[in-house]
Amino acid sequence: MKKYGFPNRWFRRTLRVIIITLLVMVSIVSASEEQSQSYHLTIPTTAPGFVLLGSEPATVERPGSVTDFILSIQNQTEDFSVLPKNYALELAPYWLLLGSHITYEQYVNGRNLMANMLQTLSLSVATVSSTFEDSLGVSHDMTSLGFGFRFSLLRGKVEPSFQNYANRLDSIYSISHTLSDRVTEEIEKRLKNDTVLCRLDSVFQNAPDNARQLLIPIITVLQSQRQQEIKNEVEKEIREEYTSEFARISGLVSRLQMRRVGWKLELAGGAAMDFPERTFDNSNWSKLGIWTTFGYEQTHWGMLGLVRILGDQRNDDFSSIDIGSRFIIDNIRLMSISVESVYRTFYASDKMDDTWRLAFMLDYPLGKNKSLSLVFGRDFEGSRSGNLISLINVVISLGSDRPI
Amino acid sequence: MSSSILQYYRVRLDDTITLKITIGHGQSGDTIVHLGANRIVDGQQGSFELVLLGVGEELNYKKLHCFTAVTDIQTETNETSVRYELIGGVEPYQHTLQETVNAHGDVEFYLATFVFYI
Repeated sequence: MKKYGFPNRWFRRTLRVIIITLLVMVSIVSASEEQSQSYHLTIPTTAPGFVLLGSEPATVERPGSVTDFILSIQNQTEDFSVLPKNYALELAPYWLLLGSHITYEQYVNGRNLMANMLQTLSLSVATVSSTFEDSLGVSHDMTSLGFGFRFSLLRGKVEPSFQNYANRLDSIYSISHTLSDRVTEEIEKRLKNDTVLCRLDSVFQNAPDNARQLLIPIITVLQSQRQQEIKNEVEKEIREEYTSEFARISGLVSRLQMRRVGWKLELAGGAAMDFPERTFDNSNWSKLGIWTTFGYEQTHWGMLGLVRILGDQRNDDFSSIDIGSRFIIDNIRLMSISVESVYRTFYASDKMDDTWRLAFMLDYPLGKNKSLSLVFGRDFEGSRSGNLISLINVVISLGSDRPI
Repeated sequence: MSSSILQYYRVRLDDTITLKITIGHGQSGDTIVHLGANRIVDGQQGSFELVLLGVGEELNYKKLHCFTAVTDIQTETNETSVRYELIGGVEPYQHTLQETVNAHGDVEFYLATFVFYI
C-alpha cells in the first residue's frame, strides 16, 4: 500500500489546488470591472517571523509596503477543515510613534536612504503550532515563536501614470477643496456671529493689561469648547449634505493604487524559539537568520534576488545559505503570478546534500484585508511529508479595513 | 486627541510672524487660512510655510483661522495629523492635532484658531 501512497497523495493535493485555482479564476473573470478596481493589488508580505519558522508561502519575499499595526492570521490548511494555527503581529514603529512628521512629499520621495529605512522598518512576532516526533516515534505538540525585523533601503519611485494615480489624486484634491471651502465658509460665519465667543473676545480686549495673562487660560478653555461645538455642528451638517462627495473621495482612494518602480533593496532578519510540549521552561533558540531581497520592479513585472543565511541552533548540519530568484508578472486582472527558484547549500555540514526549490505562485486580493496565495511546485528535499508544494495560503489582517 | 484648537499667541509691536502647517502621516491635505476677514490661503495642497502680512502691532486682536481637510490616502495607517507652528512672536509655538479615521478614504477636518495679542 505504501508503494502507492505518494501518487495518491500527490493526486489529491494537486486536484485540490487545481479546483480551487479554477474557482478563483472563475470568480476573477466574472467580477465586473468596477468591482475589480475596488481593491488594491495586494503585494502580500510575510512577517520575517513566519519566514524563520518556515511558514512563508514564497521563499523570495517581495518588498512591500508596511502597515503601522497588523495582525495576520495565516491558514495553510489544504482543505479549510481546521482553524488557522499561525499568527503574526507586525508593527511599524516610525509610523506609530513619529507618523505626524512624515509628509506626503517625504513619503513618495524614495531617494533618502535614512527616510526609506525609518518609514519601512517593521518589527514582528509570529507563532506557529506544529508537532514533532521523538526518537521513539511518539508525536508531541510544539509551539514556535519567531521575532523579526525588516526595512528597505531602496524602494523605488512612485509611478504617477500607474492606474491613473496622479489624475485620481488631483480629483481627490479637487473634491476635498470643495468640501473644505464649504466647511470653512460655514464655520467662519458662525464663529463671527456667535454671542458667546463675541462676549469672551470683548472681555479679553477690555481687560486691564495686568489681568489679561490671568484671563487667557480661562478664556482659552471656554472659547476652545465653543469652537469645537460649532465645528462639530457644521461638520455633521456638511457630512449629511454632501454624502455623495464623501463617497466619491472614498471610492477614488480605494482605487488609488501606488506603485513604486525601480530598484529595491530590503534587509530582514530575526530569531526563532521552540517550546516543545508547549512548556515555557522547555524553550530553546532554534534558528537565527538574516537575508536580503533585491531587484528591479517595473509597472507590470519584477525580477528579484535573494541571499539568506539561516543558522540552525538545534543541529548545525541544517544551517544553510539560500540563493534564489523570482520573476513576477503583475496586474493580470488583479492577480500576480510568479515563479521562484532557490538553491540551498548546508555550509556547516559535509553530510547534507545541496537542494533546490521551484515554485509557481498566484496571489489574489480577496478584499481590502484578505489575500489568497496558491503555491505549487517542488520544495527542498528533507521534508518528512515529501517535497511537493501544493498549498493555499490565506492571510487576513484584523483591526483595519485597509488593503494589505 | 482632538481636531480643533484655540490658542492665544503673544507678539511684540514689530514682530513678523511665520505660520508653518505640516500634514503628517503621509496623507493628503487641503488648507484654507483666514486672517481676520481676509482669506490669505485658498486651497493649499500639502505642507507649507507662510509669512503673515503685517507686523505685531497690526496683528493685535486679529484671529488666524486655519482649516484643513485631511484625506486618508495611505495604506500604512488610518492616522491623520496636522502640526501647527508659529515663529517670530515672544515664544515659538508648536502643536500637533491627530485623529484616527474609521476607514481608509475618510476625510478629517481640522481647525486651529490663533488669537494674536500684544
